Amino acid sequence: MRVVHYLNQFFGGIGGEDKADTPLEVRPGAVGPGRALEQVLPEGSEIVGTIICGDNFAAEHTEEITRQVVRQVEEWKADLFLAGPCFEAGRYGTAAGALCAAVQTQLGIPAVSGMAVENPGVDLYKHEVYIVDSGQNAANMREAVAGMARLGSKLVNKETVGRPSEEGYIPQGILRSEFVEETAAQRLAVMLLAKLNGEPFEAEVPINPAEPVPMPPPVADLSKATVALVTDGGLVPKGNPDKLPRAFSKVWGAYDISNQEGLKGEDYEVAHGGYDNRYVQEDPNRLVPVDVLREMEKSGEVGKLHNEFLSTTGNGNPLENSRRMGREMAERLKAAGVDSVILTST
Amino acid sequence: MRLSLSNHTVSEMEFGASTKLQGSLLQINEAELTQHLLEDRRLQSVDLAVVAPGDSCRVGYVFDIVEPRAKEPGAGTDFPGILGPAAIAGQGATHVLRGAAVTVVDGGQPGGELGYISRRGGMTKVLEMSGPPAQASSYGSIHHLVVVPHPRPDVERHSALNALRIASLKAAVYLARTALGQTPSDTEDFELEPPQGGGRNGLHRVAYIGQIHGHQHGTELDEHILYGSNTRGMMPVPLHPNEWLDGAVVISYSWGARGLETYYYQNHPVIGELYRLHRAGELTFAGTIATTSSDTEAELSRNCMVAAKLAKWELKADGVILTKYAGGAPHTDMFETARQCEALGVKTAVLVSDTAPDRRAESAALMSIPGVDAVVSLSEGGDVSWQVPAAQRVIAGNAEVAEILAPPQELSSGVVCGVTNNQGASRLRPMIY
Amino acid sequence: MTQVTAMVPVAEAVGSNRIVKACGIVYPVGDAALSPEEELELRRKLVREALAALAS
Repeated sequence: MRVVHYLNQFFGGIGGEDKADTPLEVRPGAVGPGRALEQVLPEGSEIVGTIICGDNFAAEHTEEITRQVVRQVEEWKADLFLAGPCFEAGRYGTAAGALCAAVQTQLGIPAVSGMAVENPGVDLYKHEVYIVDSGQNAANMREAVAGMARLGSKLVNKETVGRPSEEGYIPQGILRSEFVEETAAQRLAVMLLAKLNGEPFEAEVPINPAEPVPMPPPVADLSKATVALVTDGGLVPKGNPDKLPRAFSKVWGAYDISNQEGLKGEDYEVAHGGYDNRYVQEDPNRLVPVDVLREMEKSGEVGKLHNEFLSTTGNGNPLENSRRMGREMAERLKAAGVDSVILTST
Repeated sequence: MRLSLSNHTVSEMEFGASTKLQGSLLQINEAELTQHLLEDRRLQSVDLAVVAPGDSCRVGYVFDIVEPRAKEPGAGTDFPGILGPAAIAGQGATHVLRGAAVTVVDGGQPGGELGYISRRGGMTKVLEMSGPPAQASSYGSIHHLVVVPHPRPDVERHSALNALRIASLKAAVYLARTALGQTPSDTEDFELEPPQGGGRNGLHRVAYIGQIHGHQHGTELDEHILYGSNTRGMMPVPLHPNEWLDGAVVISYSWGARGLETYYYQNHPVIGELYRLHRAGELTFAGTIATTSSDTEAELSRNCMVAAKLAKWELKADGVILTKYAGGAPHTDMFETARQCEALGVKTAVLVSDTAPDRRAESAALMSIPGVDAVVSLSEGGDVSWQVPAAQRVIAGNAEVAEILAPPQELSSGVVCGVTNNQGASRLRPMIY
Repeated sequence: MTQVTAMVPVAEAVGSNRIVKACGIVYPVGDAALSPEEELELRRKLVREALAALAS
């Protein structure tokens, strides 16, 4: 197994913070922690070369060094790319994560890094890169490189990678459903009793509350504002031109209402499969209140009703997807000069 | 209140000259049962089939699965409020055919999308009797009498669904009556001491709050859910655990009732587990509360408050287990109820269905509320599925569904009855990698 | 943005800042049980609440 190893200027033996601007350099064989790594790699493996770069240089020239590293790893015909361990060093971890991700996707060979859980590189790259939990400092060097070597050779040999706790990597936040002996009812009782007894327990899915969303300032004068209507209730024109699915929608639509005083059931249908749609079908204004906003536009209560409404089906959507659609909708509305939005949710 | 279940093991089921239980062989007179079900004039015909574990057989779409049970004469009413007058369920002797089920297929359920009302019924729930999917579901190891009622074409959909409900329960009682007068294989008694302040010897008092419908899917006026009620406008109501077990509750027709069957009310996993721990002296089972998830904010606030209040001061619970109906909206009511329980000092554990289609952990929980941190998941994410061969035998509600079910295909865990279950039977759980 | 929803706890949990309680999941700004005139009046009231939230 041919291994290429990436280090920052400190572990590469060039120097401390004062050498953080050192550009990328390449050395044959193992350097520094690479020697410890070589001892724990499976027999017949070697570190064919080491790439060293200063932390600041890497942070400021990420694209450039990514290109260089990918080319070098390819040139050395590596089977595996290892970066770090980086412990708590943030710039080092961020560069290591980016390089591992690039090598994996561009060359199709596995890559493994090692970081402390707190390293900012973890949040950025844990979903796509296996990152061994290195602990916080170099006192754990031996275990950290052993973990990286073990996981790396498993990946090279295409062996099944076990759970994070068994393999020593930081959870990637990927769910896999598995059959277990106990029913959900039994697990509920065990968890509740632990909670009642003040013993530790662990939720089966992460329960981190959403981060707060910054609140935009109030609309200064509604009589001059353009108001847009957005819904996650799945209202679409008859025939569902954008083919919004009943759930898990990856798409949203924008539908013209510029000539309409209100919405009529005969012109629309409801794509959303998660609620009883009969009432909205009967009168779509119950979901997208075009009728009353048109009145208010005429009376001057609001400046203008935006000439289209946006719609998607909001049920069962992964967060990442919802965020993307929200961003896209906001961009479209912003570009059209919309000041404010009423979002109706089902 | 004491419920005594007389269990009669069924290890074989067949059609024959008369309907009787002979040892563990259940023989069914097809014509007699058909006649019995056709007393409901809304049905023009009924198909019956017997299915055994291991059969290369695929059944769909399933309206409901019911365990055959019949009350000992004089002990009460079978499915009170639906098949008979109102009567308190959960007391006296009930005969059970263990290892048997009545599985009802919706003959009016089209395969395609024909508006919301058509989706109420057995949408895409499948019974698979062989291979790995059958091993993953407890329904795969029991004998089924499959009932396919065909309502007359002029019967409105809500009434047709009502006819299916009646047929499912009538068939279950009809089969179980064969056990009357026979010696059971074993009996099980279900009894709680009356509520009292403080636990038994300081044991934690644990209650169960279960949703029995999700009103985002509506109900039909003639829909039976709790003692025959359609649960519209229902406030949370304390039930003795035995009432769930003995026919007070059946599932709604809802498309949202995926992952739920009446069978698992009769054999309620949470209630069964709390009874077990109660008997083992590990906790005191304080009772249960039936509730629904709401479709209005006012109802949501009111019902969550009332449920929490009942748990705290009527059942005097130290802790509660909460389960929900299928879908997203019921999450809200369950979490809000749990939040209010925690605020009153009642600790909670909740059962969620993580549906994260991208299998990213961050998408798994529909919502998070500080303090509601004991979360168990039934893993509805669809990342477990089975490649199944063509079924030698397909029992479907209509030709269109038969065509969909027959060929080799990929069956998702969420589609196979008894795998991802909202009542607590699920053995699937998400692991974080 | 004002979010009009019957599932206020979900809106709060995802970080919505301006929330108005809707009539129902199945008709956020309507109510099939009312007469058409009453329903329209109710919708005006809810939309005004949403607008007021935008302006504050």
